Amino acid sequence: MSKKLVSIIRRERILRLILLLGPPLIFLTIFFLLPFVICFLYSFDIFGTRTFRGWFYYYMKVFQPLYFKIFLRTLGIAVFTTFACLVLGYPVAYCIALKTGRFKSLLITLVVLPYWVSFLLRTYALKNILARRGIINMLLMGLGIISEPLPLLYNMLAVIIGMIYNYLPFTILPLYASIEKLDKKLLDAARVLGANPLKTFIYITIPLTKPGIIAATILTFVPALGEFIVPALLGGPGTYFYGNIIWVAFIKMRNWCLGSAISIIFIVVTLTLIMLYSKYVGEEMTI
Amino acid sequence: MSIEVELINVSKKFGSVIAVDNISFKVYKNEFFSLLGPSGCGKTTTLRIIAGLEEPDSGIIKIGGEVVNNIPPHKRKVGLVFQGTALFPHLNVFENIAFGLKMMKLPKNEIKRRVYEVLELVKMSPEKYAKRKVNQLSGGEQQRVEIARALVTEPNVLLLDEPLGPLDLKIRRHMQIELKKLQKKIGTTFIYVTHDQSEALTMSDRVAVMKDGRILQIGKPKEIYENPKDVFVAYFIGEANFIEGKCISTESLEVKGLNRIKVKVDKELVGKRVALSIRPEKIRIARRLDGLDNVFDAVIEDVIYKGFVVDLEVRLTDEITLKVQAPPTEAANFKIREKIKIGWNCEDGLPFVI
Repeated sequence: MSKKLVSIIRRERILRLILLLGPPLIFLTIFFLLPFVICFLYSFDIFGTRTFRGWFYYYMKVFQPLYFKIFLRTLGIAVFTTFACLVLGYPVAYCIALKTGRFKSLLITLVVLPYWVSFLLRTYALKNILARRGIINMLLMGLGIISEPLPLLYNMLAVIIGMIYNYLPFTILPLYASIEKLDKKLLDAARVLGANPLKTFIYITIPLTKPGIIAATILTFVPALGEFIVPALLGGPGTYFYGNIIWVAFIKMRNWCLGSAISIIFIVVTLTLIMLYSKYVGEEMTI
Repeated sequence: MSIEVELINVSKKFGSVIAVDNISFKVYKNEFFSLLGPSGCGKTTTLRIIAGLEEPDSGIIKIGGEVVNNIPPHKRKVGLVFQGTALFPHLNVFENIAFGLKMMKLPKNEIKRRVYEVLELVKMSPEKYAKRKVNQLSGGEQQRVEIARALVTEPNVLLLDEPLGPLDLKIRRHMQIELKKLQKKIGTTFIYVTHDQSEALTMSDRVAVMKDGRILQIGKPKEIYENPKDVFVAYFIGEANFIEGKCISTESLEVKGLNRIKVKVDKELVGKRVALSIRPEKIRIARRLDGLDNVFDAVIEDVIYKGFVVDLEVRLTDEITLKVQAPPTEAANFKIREKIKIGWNCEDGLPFVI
């Protein structure tokens, strides 16, 4: 590059921005925005790939009880998974951040360690653990606690176990980051001012780690809502998620219009929920 | 006088580091007691042990005559003001101060009354400050709120861990005097941790000088300054010159390259090597000097004019330079490299065996 060109780039702020943001913008436009627009257009059957039945035909379909029931179930399980992950993950993050001293980084690495193995493999492994002749059933039967294998797989229980297992680290990491930053002096101050450990936790620790709780909630809730592999591998017929319906619509039924309409509604609902959540919790935080 | 806080043979180790090494002391009711020492001397740990935030490895802690070793911090009824600020950032000034009262489950109007009272006490207008966020306060204001928060629950003992540390010098001097006044007004026992010797001397009724987890000397500021029992105390409190030599009698000290120095020492020190400590302000400096026990020729090496005082550095021998402090009326026109006389009386030189 000639010296002149370099100096122009240095001078011109706009040019610098374009050079820096250009590549990611192009990538996102082609692989994110464009498919989204196509999906949006398909949901109204603009391309006329199917017999035209009105602009909102596929949207109306989504509001049928069957789809609505699955939507509510997905929402319920995502909320439950997020909540369970918070309840299970907070003590872990808290202990690692405040009580383990120099083992801190080792322990947090252990939390992330399962992610070195593919998501699919881990879920298959879980399948083997929960199966009729899996480790848990064999162990319980071997110990004589049960005589018949427990139905641990292909039901809602298996799906919930799989969800919590897969999402727990997403909860722990942001919680850990915010608890770690917590000024321990504040906890001591609360203790000396007459707060027992529980009250210190409720009035000081929780409010001060709220940013971490919010981040953990969103990072767990959003992917949990869109999950479809866990119910497909571990669940039974009654455990379909919204994500599975989208998959069925696109791949099995080859009905892109229906799949697109479901996806668009799903995106709108997810965004609305997150916005409401961050607005409500975020505002409370500033008091 | 009744004893408010008592530590008996208290020790605390962190791993292999001894933070507090078998210390014992008593603090009386209504006393302003300071723990003074360099950083890492164990003073903060001692304070945390009294508050119940650290558990001692051995020893007994008594507050109000009661052994409190097994009482958790939230039941000890002590106040603690932290080094730097430990105000709750998510609560405003009112809520911060009210925290302790809320934990006591007092009725709302009582809480409000007491918060407003204590804000007045630390000279902050409640109307102006109650609803402020703590990060909108200046360092001095934060420190006042912190003190108010610790006092509002009316603890019998207030522990203060370098509370004025982050403040700049002027506000600091001002707060020192205010704190002292406040303490006399409310009559609470204060245990004050600091590494600033002038602060400790200004404010305290008694001072305990600490080093390496031990208490070297406890006494009134004047005793500590005038009669240090330990060479470290002499060195740490105020400024001191040390001249090393050998006691050849109870009245004279032999120093390399110098005439004998007249001293007054105990018999046990005769024949031993000692460091003679002389405060810079006890050394007189002039072009002519009479009537002092010791008078020596010296050369001025440095003159630092400080307004109310002049700090001089004078060379006595090749190896010995002394710090001398003199009023500007006497020393302002001394020049560097000027030959001069210095002198002091023998009771101003305190010998320490080395």
